[in-house]
Amino acid sequence: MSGLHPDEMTLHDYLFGELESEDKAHIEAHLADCRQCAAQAREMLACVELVKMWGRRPAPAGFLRELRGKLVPRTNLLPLRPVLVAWLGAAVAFRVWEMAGRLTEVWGAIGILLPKVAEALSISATDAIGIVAEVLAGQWLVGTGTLGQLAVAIIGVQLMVGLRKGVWVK
Amino acid sequence: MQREFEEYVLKNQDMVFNIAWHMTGNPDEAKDIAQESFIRAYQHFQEFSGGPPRAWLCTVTINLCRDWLRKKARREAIGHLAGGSGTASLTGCTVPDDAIAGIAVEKALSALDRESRLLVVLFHIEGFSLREISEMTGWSISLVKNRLFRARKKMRNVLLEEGIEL
Repeated sequence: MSGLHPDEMTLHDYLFGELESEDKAHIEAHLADCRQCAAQAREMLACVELVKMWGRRPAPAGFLRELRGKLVPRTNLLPLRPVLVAWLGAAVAFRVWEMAGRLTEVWGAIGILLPKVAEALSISATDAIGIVAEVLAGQWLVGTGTLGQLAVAIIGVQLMVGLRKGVWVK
Repeated sequence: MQREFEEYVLKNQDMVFNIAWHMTGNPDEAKDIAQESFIRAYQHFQEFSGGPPRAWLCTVTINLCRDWLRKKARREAIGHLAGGSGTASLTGCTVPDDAIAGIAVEKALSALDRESRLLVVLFHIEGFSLREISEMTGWSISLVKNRLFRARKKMRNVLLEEGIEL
């Protein structure tokens, strides 16, 4: 037999790769000669193998699907949201007096536009109302030019739909 | 990023769930904690190439489990519920009925305290090094090594008591 029996901790260090090469060679030589230590080593390895085999619990089925529902998309435009809200708020505040005179006209336009907008953008009617209101508010703020109003309308719709659907995901 | 993240989840979900399950002893809580770990990974996904490393994910999971255990202990103290010995019962285990070895392993793992069980999972099942585990858990390498040593001996004894031939 090659030398004294190693203590149990050293034997574990050897078995689980925590021993320096010189000590490793010494233990290997000892295990080749000592049946008692070799049996002890085999027993410990078998124990760990069983734990590896049976100690793993796979994640339940549908784990990823459930996780998807919990993830909130990150939008690059999130920091801009307060600016948009302020912009729209100001539009409403400054132009609200126009509402009285144009209320009938506005609601008439929404009544015609709403179903088309909702259908075209595949969004709910509630979202469509919100978008139309937000875009109209933006238009009123920007002013008079028809082209300007059209540009604001297009950009506004894109921004609002994007924010609502969370499409600006990094 | 969505597809990349989903691949990351699929690659690591078993590891994260396994750690949470062994720490909480409760499959439902383990699932919630595992999902919260991935939500945090999602928030930091772009800070790392290919997503946060496994060790990062494990550290988050371990900390979430510890938070959950602290809250649970507080709730139990407030409710004057009977306190356990710190050893979670691994009920809900899904080993086949005829898998005697599987049941014996479940008993062997249940016989360990939570922290030792975590070390066994991290070292022997997930293959982390002592240094990595030391960083994840905040314990010294020698403490990790000693606890693992004692855990292995205890598991071996339980397996032998259960009539498993090693």
